[in-house]
Amino acid sequence: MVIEVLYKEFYIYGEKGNVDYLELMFKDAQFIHTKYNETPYFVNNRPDMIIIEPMAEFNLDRVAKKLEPHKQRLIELIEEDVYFFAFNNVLDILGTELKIKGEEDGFTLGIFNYHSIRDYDNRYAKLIYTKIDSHYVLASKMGFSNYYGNKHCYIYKTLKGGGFNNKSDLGGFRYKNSFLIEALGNIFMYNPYLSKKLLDTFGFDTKLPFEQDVFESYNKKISEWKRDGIIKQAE
Amino acid sequence: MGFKTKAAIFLAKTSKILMKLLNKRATQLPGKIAHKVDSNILRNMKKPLNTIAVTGTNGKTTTVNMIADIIDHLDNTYISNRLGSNTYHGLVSAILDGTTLTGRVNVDYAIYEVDELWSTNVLSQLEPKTFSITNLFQDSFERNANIYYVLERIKKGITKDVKLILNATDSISSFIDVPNEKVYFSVDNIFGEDEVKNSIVQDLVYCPNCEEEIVWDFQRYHHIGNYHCEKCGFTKPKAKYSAYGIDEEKNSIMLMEDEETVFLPIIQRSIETVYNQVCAYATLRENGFDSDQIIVAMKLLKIIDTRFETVEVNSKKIIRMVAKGYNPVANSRVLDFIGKSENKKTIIYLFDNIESNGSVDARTTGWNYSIDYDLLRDNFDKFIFKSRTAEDFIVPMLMRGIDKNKIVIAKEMSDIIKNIDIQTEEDIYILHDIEPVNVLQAKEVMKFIQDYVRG
Repeated sequence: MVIEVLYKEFYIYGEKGNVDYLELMFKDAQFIHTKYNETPYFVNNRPDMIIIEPMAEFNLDRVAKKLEPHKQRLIELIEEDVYFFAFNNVLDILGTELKIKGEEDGFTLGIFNYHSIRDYDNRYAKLIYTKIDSHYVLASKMGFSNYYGNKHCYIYKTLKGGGFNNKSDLGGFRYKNSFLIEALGNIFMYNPYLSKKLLDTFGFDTKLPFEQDVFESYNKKISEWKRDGIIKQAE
Repeated sequence: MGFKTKAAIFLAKTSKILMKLLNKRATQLPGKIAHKVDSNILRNMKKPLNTIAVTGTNGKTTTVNMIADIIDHLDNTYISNRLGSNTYHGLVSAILDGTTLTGRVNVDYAIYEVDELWSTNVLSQLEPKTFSITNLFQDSFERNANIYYVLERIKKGITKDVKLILNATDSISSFIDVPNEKVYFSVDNIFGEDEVKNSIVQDLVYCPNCEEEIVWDFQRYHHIGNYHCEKCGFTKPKAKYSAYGIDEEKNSIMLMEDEETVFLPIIQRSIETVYNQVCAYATLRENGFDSDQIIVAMKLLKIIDTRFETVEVNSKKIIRMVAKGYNPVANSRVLDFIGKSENKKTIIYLFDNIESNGSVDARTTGWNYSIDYDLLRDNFDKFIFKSRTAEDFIVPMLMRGIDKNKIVIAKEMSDIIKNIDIQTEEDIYILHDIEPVNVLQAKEVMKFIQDYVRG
């Protein structure tokens, strides 16, 4: 199995950790780390998974232009069911349009059918959670952008914190094996059931790295979130 | 000055006097009152003729205090928000200190610490002659997003006549893209520091001109140091004020100023303090102060550091230090400092400010992974957490190679003691967040350990 990680050197908000953990999870997979000045591996090869995580908007704009010559190849792979994961503000550059309040529109690759609005004067940061297969998935949301257009292809319903945009509880955008997640928060590291599910999907051993510690952190967080009223006791 | 502004000043000044009589800190409330009465109070009130503004992620409070103390030693009158209230209301409150009940200004200088994000809104209203940026780093992700966003916010606040005083070794803030006059300061590797490469947080990888990978000649940490681009020649700007060495005999920092060496007293042997000193010196020089006079006054400076405290009890040295919560760079720097010490040591990490930071919703975890725990160099005996969110730190620590057997989660204060061997000669570091409630908690833990060690 080949997993291509795009532009990890730009990742912020601790999300380098998410990829590092993924690398420990898929210990028998081959990880290709494509740097900004390199031609992506996917241009001449077919990886099984491509992943890209949040970065400063300044870098995001550069990355969009860097990927533009390879857009058709990326679409081709997405149509061929290659797994594609994008998190948080990377969604800014993947939709059809990026409106930036008070500025000119941003450049987007137009790969997926949704649009984004970025507002530098309205930053938000919040904890979110949902349930997948009866297990809590704990994450956070922060940024300047809201996304619109996932009504028919959302991935989950958030129980708190909002989804694709702050007025909707419908989170994520799915097309074939592409999963665009507006949330973040070292999701693989802090959500053991979800990570096990991912390993299982690819036929890997579902034993997690530091499994006991990950579960302790996960369970403690749930009890703390309940104690502080973030998770309602009844749920 | 209109009636509304006069009324605002009168009411706010009166509240300030009352608060002082009641022994309360008047760093915010008078500013809030004035703002309530006159929504444009900062723009409308009169300000001192000589205004200095300082911003940056780290060191701005210390730098402002140094500048203010030197100006004070040189017999000038001044106002300053030196306690760190650096947003709108804190600034208004500070100006009120130098304003009469009728709105007249009665001081020579104003020295302001300005919050990086607030720079956009307040800088033009403060009308500074110089604006110094100590450095910029990733800070709270929730509030500050990323370094380029902060840089843009600062840029928007800069007016055309202000002279910028910039840190040449900060490869990002030194290239702020505005046409203003710029003067640079820098600090070379004067203490023989080891380079810190491979930090998780690294904001400059590629040349901003040609996108070639940057080559580091000396990487102090993160994006700070000496660097160049092999393709286009992009490099650190030439500094007018450059600390280039130490004169041990004179116990001084050798500073090159326009081809001449001046000797600044060493106040503390830490690179951060030297940065603050050099920035303060450069700022004062650019505001017309005489070099010899600055140095004389600098010798009188005492850093009252609420962020650092040491006591020795029997075989233990107990050190209390701030490790600012949600700020991975600040935490990495603290761990680097501790990791460099060869002494035996135990580290106690207090992080219980969930309620005090005002929002449980801001309890994100990304910063835990962005701390360079490996800078501890495996050079400690125990890392004891006393925190409701202790478990969040464990996996990131393990991933950076920390031995799990050395990590302890203390549920109660007594659990801390259980992990301290009373006979062992060692340093005990107590790390805590920045809010007064955190300082209080850390002091309690410090006293608890002292009492235990004394028996």
